Order: sequence, then C-alpha cells, then structure tokens
Amino acid sequence: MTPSSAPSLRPDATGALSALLRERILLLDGAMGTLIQGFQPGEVEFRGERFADWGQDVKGNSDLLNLTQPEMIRSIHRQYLDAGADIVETNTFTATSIAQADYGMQDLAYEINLAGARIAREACDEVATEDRPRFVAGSLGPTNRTASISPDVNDPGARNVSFEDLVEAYLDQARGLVDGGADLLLVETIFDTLNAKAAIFALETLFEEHGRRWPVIMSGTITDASGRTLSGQVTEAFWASVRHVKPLAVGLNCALGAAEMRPYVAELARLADTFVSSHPNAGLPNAFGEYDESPEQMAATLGEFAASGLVNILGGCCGTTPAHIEAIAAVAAAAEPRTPAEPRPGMHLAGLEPVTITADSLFVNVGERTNITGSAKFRNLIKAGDYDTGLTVAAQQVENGAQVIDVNMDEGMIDGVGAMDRFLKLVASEPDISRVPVMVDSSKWEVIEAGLRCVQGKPIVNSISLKEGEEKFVEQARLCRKYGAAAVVMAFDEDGQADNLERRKAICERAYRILTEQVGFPADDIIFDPNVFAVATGIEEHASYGLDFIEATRWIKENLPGRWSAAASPT
Amino acid sequence: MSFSFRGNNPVREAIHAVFLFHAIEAGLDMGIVNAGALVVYDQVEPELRTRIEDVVLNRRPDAAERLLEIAEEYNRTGEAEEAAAEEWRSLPVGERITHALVKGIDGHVQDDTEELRAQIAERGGRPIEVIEGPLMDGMNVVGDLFGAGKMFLPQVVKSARVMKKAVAYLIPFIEQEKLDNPEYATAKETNGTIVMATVKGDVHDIGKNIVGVVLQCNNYEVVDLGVMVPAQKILDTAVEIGADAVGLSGLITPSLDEMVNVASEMQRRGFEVPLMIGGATTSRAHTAVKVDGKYDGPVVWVKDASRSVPTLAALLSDAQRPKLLADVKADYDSLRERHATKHDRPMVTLEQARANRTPVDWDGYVPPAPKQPGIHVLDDYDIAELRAYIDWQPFFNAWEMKGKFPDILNNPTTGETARGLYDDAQAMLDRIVEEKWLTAKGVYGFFPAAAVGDDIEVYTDESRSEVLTTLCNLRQQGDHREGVPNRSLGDFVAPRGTGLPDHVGAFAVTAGLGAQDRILAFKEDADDYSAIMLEALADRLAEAFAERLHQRVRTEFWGHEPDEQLENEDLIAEKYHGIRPAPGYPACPEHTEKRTLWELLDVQANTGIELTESMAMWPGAAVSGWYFSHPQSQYFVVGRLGRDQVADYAERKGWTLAEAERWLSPNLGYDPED
Repeated sequence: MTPSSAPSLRPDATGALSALLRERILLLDGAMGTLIQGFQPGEVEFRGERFADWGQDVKGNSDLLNLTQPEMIRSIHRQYLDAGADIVETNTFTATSIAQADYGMQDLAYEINLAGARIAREACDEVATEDRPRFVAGSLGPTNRTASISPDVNDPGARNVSFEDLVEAYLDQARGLVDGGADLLLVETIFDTLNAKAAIFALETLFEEHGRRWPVIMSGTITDASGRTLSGQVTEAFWASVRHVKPLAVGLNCALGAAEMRPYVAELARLADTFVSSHPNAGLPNAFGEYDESPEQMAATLGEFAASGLVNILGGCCGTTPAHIEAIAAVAAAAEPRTPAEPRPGMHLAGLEPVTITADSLFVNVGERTNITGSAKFRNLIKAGDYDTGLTVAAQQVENGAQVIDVNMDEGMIDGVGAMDRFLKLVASEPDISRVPVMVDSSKWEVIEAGLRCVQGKPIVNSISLKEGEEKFVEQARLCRKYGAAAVVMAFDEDGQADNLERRKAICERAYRILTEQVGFPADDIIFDPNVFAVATGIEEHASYGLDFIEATRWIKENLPGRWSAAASPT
Repeated sequence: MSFSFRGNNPVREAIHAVFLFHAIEAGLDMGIVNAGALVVYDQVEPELRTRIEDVVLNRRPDAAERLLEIAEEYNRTGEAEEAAAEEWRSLPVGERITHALVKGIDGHVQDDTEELRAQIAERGGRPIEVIEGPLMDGMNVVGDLFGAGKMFLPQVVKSARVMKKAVAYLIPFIEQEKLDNPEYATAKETNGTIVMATVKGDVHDIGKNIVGVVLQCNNYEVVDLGVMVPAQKILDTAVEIGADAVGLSGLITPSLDEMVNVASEMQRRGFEVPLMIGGATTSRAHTAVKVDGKYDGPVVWVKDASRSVPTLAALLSDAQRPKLLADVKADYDSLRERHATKHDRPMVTLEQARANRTPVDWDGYVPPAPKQPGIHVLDDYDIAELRAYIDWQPFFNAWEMKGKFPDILNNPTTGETARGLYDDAQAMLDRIVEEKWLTAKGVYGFFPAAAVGDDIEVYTDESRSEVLTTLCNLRQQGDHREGVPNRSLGDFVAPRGTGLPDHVGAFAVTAGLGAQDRILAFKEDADDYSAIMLEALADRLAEAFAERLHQRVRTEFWGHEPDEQLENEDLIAEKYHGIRPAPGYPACPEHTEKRTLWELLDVQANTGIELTESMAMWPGAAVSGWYFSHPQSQYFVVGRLGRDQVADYAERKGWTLAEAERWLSPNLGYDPED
C-alpha cells in the first residue's frame, strides 16, 4: 500500500486551534515507541514486503513502520484518540534524512513523512466530529546530531552537521508532513536550539513557497536539574531564541517527569505571549531505564499545572500510554486554560542566558575588543590563527561587563566567512562567553550569514542599510527575521552615508517605515546607528558631526516608536 | 569620533566619555565600547571636558583648535590602549593615594604609602604627616562624595580598608619615632573620640561596625568594645580615654532596656558627653520617651551610618550643637506628647479578646502526624545548598543600599555599587563553601500538643497523659472591627477538648559557627569590609537555613504539605501553609519563651547556640522558632497589651507583675507607673 503522491494540504488551523485553546486545555497524545514495543515487531515486520531485501537491518527504525505496518500505527493513533487526545503526533520523530541515514534510508525521508501524516490524518478523520475536531501535528524531532556541540573532544570548533544540512533535511521532512495532511508542525525535544532555529528557517522557507503558514509549536527539552537545554540555554533564553517563528504554542517535553519539569513550565507560562504546552515523560527512568510513573501520579502533577493556570496543551512523552492520556484528560477538563502573558516590551536577546533591553535599561555595553577593525591586538591574533587567545579577549570583555559582544572579521587579508564561522563555533563552546548574545558585525552580507548560522541564541546583525537599495534591504531584513536576529540599521542610503541631521532623520524614518510596514519587522528589534564620525578634524563641515548624532538620537527616540539607537564604535 | 587624536588615548577616551554622556542623555541605548575601560564623564578634568564639549556640541568655531592646544598636555601615558585600566598608576603619588581611596583599591597601598613616607622623611617630615596630609585629604574626598550621595556605603567601607592598611603600614615608623623622640609621644589630632558598644545581652553588631568604619573614615577615633558589653565597662572606658561621646547599639528588644540602664548610669556617674543610640529595634520614639529622660546630657537617636558623621560632628561643635539640641528637643517633646496620648487607642479586655479568637473549624479536621516525630539534629548542613535560599533584600538593607532587590542591581545611581557588593558577596560565598569557613548546625523536633486557653501544652508522648512543658502565648487586645479576630498562636493548635492528636514543632539553626575567628582575622588585617561582609553573609545563611529547613519540614519531616513546589521568591513571599514564628518577634514578642525552646530541643548541646541573659542567640547568625502546620495559621502582630493580660501572663509564667512588665515592656499598652 504505497501512498499516492497527490498532496492534500489542510487549511490554516490557526484560528480554529486558537479559539479552542482559549476555551479549554487541549490534549496531545502520548508515547509512540512504548506502544509500538507492545506489538513486539521484529526485523521481518519492520522490513515488510517492500524492504525484504534492504541491504542493512532496519529493526528499531520506528518511522519506517509508516510504510511497512501502517495499520499498527493507525491503531495506536486510534487508542490515543479514544483516550481523549485532541492532537495526535505523526510517527515521524526520526524521519529526517539525517537520522534516516543510519539505515541508509535518507532518500525515503519525504515518503515516510508523507505516509506518517496520512495515517494520522485518517485516524483523526475517523473519529472527528464537528463539535470535537481532531488535529494532526507533524512531529519534527531534533535529529541525532547537534549544530552547537562538538563531537570531537580535541576540537571544540568541530561539528558533525551544518546549519544548511539541517535546513535541507527539515524542509524535506516538513514538506512531507504538510503534503500528507498535517494541521500543525511540532518541533519537539529541542536539546540544541541551533537545530531548532534551522527547523524554523526551513519552515519559514516552506511557508514562503506556499504563500501561507501552518501553526507551529516549539517544544524544548530541559535535560536535567541545571535547568538548561543540552546546549546550555536557560528557559528564558530558549524562548527568546525561537520566538521569531511566532509559534501557536511554546512548551517543554521529554527528559524530565512532570514534577521536575514544573519550574521551567512555570517560567514559560510567565514569559510567553502565546499558548504553553507540556508533555513530560512518565517520571524519571528507573534503574532499568523504564518509566513507571502511573497515570494517576502523572495526572495529579499535571492537574496541578492546569489548576495553577500554567498550560494550554498537555500530553505525554516517553513511557506514557493511552491510560495516562485518559487520566490527564480528566484533570485537564477540570481546569481553565492559561491566558497567554501580555507581550513584554523591549528587545529580548539571548546567548545561553537572556538579555532584555527595555526603556528602563541602562546604557548597554557592546564589547568591541573582538572587532578586528577596532583592536590591533585581536586583528594580529586572528591573522596569526591564534583563536585560543582571541577567545580570552572575548572572555575578558564579558568579565568586564559587556552585555553583548561584537564580532567583526572584516580585514582584506582574512577569509571573513571562514574566520567568523570558526570563531563563533569556538565561542559556542565557552559558556563564560556564549552566555551573552553576539553582535554579528560585517559589511559583507555573506559573512553575517555565516555568523548567524553558528549562534543558537538571539543575536544582533550589524548592520543592514539602504545602501544597495530597497530590494536588497528588504531581502536582508527578511533573512534577519528567518534567522531570529535583531538588526542594526545604519543611516546609509543609495546616496551614501547620512552626514547631517536632516539626512539622518530622513533615512532612519524611511528604513523604519519599510521594516515595520512592509517586512513586519518588530519595532523592538530595530536598532538605529545614526553614524559616528570624527570631530575636531579641522575641516569646517565636520564641526557639527557630534551634535548632529546626538540630535538624531533624540529625534529617533521621540519619533520612531519602539526602536533603539546605538553608537556603533564611537572609537 | 576621536580619530584626529589617535596616539593620545587619554584625550580620545575623554572625548568618548563626553560624547557618550550627551548621547545617552539624548536617548542612546547601546554602544560598541571597550567594556570595563569607559572613563566616567565626571572624572574628565574640567578644562579638558569643557573644550571637548565645545567640539562635540559644536559650541564655538575655534573649538577644534582650542582642544588641540591642550590635548598634548593630557597625553601622559602614550601607553598601549590595552593598559588604560592601569593608567592611574602613572599619576603623582598623592593623586594615586586619593584614587586608591576613592576606588577602594588596596593592591598598591603599601608601596604608595612608603613612597609618601620616604618623600616626607627626605624633607625632614614625620611619618604622621602622611596620615594628616595625603591620607586625610583622600578620605576627605571620600567623605565629601559620600555626603553628596555620589558614593555609597559599601564603597566607603572599601575605602576605609585602604586607609587602615596605609595606617597599619605607618604604625611601626610612628612607634619607632616615639622611641627615638619621646617628646613626640602625644595623641594624634582627630576630630574626636567615641566609645561604641553593643549593649549587654546583645550580640548584633553589623550596623555598629559600619558606623565605626564610617566615623573612622572621617577622622574620629573609635574605640569599639564589641558585643555584650556591660554598662560599667562602657563607662569606665569612656572615662579612661576621655571619650567625647558614647555610642550604643542593639538589635533585640531587651536591649532597649539595657540602653535605658546605661543612660541612668551615665546620669548617676555625672557624665556630660553626648549619648548616641542606634540599631534595628531602637527608634526615635523609644529614645525620646524612655532614654532621654534618664540622662541630662545630650541623647540623640541616629538613623543609620550615613547620619552618624553629621550628627557627631554637630554634637562636638560648639557652633552647631545648640541648634542640633534644640531641634532634637522639640522633636522629642512632640514625640513624648504623641506617645502620651497614644494609650487612648481602644483596647478590649482579655476576656473579650479571648471570645474573639481565630475561628478555626476543628470539626472534621485531621491534624497531620509528623513523618519524623521526636528530636533530630542536623550536624553539618551543606551550605552550598543553603545559598540558593538566601533572601538578598536584607543584605542590601544592612549595607544601607536603598532599593528593591534585584532591581537595585540595575539602578542608574546605585547599580554599580550594588553589583560590586553582590559580586563580592558571591565570591566570598564561593570561598565559604569551598574552604568550609562556616559550619551550619540545626535541631528540630515535633511534639504531641494541645491548646489550653492561650497556651499550648506539650506532652511527653502520644498518650498525652503527662505535660512536658507549656508554651505561653499572648493574645492581641486591639479593638478590631467586626470579623477580624484577636489572634494568639494558641489558636492554631487543636484545643485539648477536641481530643485531636495535634502537634507543634520547634527548631533552632545557626550558620555562624566558625565565623568569629575569621572576622577577627579580617579586622586584624584592617579589612573591615570583609569582616562586615562575612558577618552579613553568615546572618543571611542562617535565615536561608531556617527557610530551607521549614520547607523540608513542610514537605518531608512533618510532611503536612508534601506536594508544595515553590521557587525562592515564593518562599520569601511566604506563599505556603504553616508558619515558623520566632520568640521575640511580633506574634510572640516575649523573649524568655526561647528558654523553653532551648530546653525542649536541648539546643545548646545539640547545636552550640547559647542564650545570653537578654535572650539573644550566640553566635548571632542564628534563628529559632516554633512550627505550626494548620492551614489557617498566619503571622500577626500581638501589639499592645492590657494590664489584665500582663497580670494573667505573669501568673502563667510564675512571675511577679513587675517581672512580666519588664519582659513585656515594648508591648505594654499602659504605663506601669500610673
């Protein structure tokens, strides 16, 4: 039963889901793997007829069952639907080309996702009624590789997967999921936020291709009691780093049981101006690696989440069963859903930790010593390939109170793309540095993009401008959004850099209108650089440069709401 | 911005400072800067600053030439830009001393002091001139900045550390000189001498230490007698050294009486010097009503360390003293008048108050049985665990840093100081944990108990046939509006008549074991900053220990709230069921109940915490109290008591009325002499 290839796209469910989420807490399903194990499929069942002669063993490739044992998967979905799940997740957690490569099945990724979505769709359509719709969430797992963490103990800058590879794999997967009839897309078990940002980039690309959006849920994974993801982010930093996809919901799943997960769900509940989800494991693994929290125990804990107004979506991850979902459904029905938090004003940046800039913030120090154009010492280190000492320069700045570090590799004799990539990957391995956000600084767009592909937090791009015209400006601004970056906008247009007060005002206002009205760029993520020039040069036209900058700053703050102003390198 | 001045870093940095000052004022939010090396606008030399402002703000056509004219004068270093942070080392030695004092940098102070001493010796001067000249000049700058609100207390204490280290370096030279030239052996010139002490029975001295440091910074000679000092010793010392003033401090309420006693003694022995009163439980009202009348000399209440210098300066100045004393007298007279009429506030009789007890429905209530009955000792509790439970607000209060934590860290004026203080505290906590500076010990227990009237009977075992001890409680006697009960702690335990098997708990914890030796070592090393810091942190850890233990009591040991899940802020905000009132605090203000607690848990043997005769705990970094589990139990203020309740309480305690009135004096709603 090979699925036909005609796509069956679902209408945008954002409105319907939002309305339901305001009404009651919705239920996700529970574990897929646990129930598959109940069928005890062997190598023969995994292979089915189609892959009887496949060149390597495929037992354990659960997502392959979408192609070889669709009835088994459909029956599992049915059990969860009957237990009360509003949303079922497709059996596609490992169905990226990257993860499928372990079985030599990378080329089947699209097909596995398409089939996975269709099976879930059919199961939902069997039980859905007008009063009780059911939704298919296309599950996008983390893959088995990490974009921020080195696999090589001897080289912290090494990676076994690139951002571009991840984007390609996620795009392929997401295409299969929406073509197969997924209502929403669930990026889950995010233990490295850079992987998730690649997924977001892929989803945004897919949405551009279709000229429409699907609702997205971002679900991170706090790996232990340190309260951080595997790649080191705290909850608030994680939220700041994925917020740009404007998810229907943000949440947490896996790794922890409900009780251990509570403080982090509470944190998201406090912060997120969107719906919040939680689908924990059935407790922590016991001595045999099994999850043995009973449905009643888990429901009691999640019931408290619900009663405390922390959540809008509840479900289960590893070790949970239809009995768990049924018990959770009962406690969820007894509680009111959480009301999303008011949007928090300000620019919410993140490294491993969050940095929030609001109207009340003091002057923000952006460390300049890792800017090759500003520091001769750093330039010489990078030219000599001494990145280790270069890292100590970055560490000192953070220690001295830099809240953001500026990294610039613009030098004629240096490969800017290579240097930016290498340095930021090394920075990622130093928590004392990467706890602060990065300002990716270059006059060359390809260098900026190389930098954006290395940072898991929410960075700042320095800079974009109207120098090469409106089209280029809009394109780069959109890319900043796709990478989840705030942006410095330099007062520069087709006629050159603004060098008097009136031009500064005019260019900033024009850029502001384009960004907020045309691109949909959040005003809080725009930083204006009204150009610092040298004074006391002896040239008469230069005499008002200082005053004009100050007056331009005043004007921007008074006339362009929600924006910030920066002096890019007063040196 | 400053490209025209490359090679002249001091001027470049000054230009950046001036530019950023004006740009930030206009709304600039961020800048790419050399973090940590920014020059402060105020510190740019005025002439240079004016000329730079002319350029940056384009104020005159010849601005650039005028800046160029003087720029080279300021190019003192020519060093590599990376060395900018150490630039002050190249200043003349007198300026270096001032810089070190203002910034609180003690790294070079011995070298710089030696250089000054050698310079002065070369021209035939004396070692004391180093103190009287450059060091006092520097401290005057510190004093002025502090007075003008441009420096904050933690910085001043750091400055004092630098000062003390410099003086310590000079002492051997001064001693040698006295041996060589006996005619020099005269007292040094100071603004005056004060004897300070925490009164008998009390052990708390952070505030007093801070006042001492601040006074020393302002060239007062301070003789600090420490804690638990009897009146006789304070006054003997004052006579012996010819003190110009006496300063008393105390934290717990019985210390108020001891201060009255010291004032009476000063009167009896014919003192005339001013008496200064300070400390957490002291107040203007208490000083006016209770202390001032006992002593004919000046009696002045000092609000905090920052008020201590102007107050003492005025008291010792013939020109300023009359006005100060007139102001104080007018103030105290009006306070006394208000106090005299305050008794008119309506109160109810004890009988009426008892009839309006907290309405608790015991019918159907199942008292939670303790999971761990009996007494349990925590011998060496992990301080690393307690760190997370620290409530930082009182820490900043102790340092007289105003504002709410954590916002205070980002306050535009005080943020830098607050962050520095917080960083220093964290660094010291790291060492406290790693090097095991402090030992935390505690004891807790749960006992079968029942309310009998306002009191609580504690039984020897679950048969509840034999009374082990009785906890005596007080009841609110204010005339409350309808629906507001007159509470007593006895309301929160099931009455004996209900037959319910209820319990009460008790605890005592300390995190101060081992602190004293190290504090003394810091003081010997002229490092008051670290000494005060350690004392403040030990206090915080003891409170954190109490907070953590109560959490474990609720969730594990008594277990009446097994499912509670709260963050530290929620704990601080007391968002939980159950209370842990401490004897001596508002819900049970009578301190001798601590004795009962000590006997019940054998606190001294189990933890090493002792009780002084005024019922202060020693070491001071200690917390004790009762545990109540009933969900309706809550904190309240007992407030003023009527004569009927005081007499009743005296009978229950086996005291005379006078004894009861002494221990309850802060709460008396009547004048015992009427």
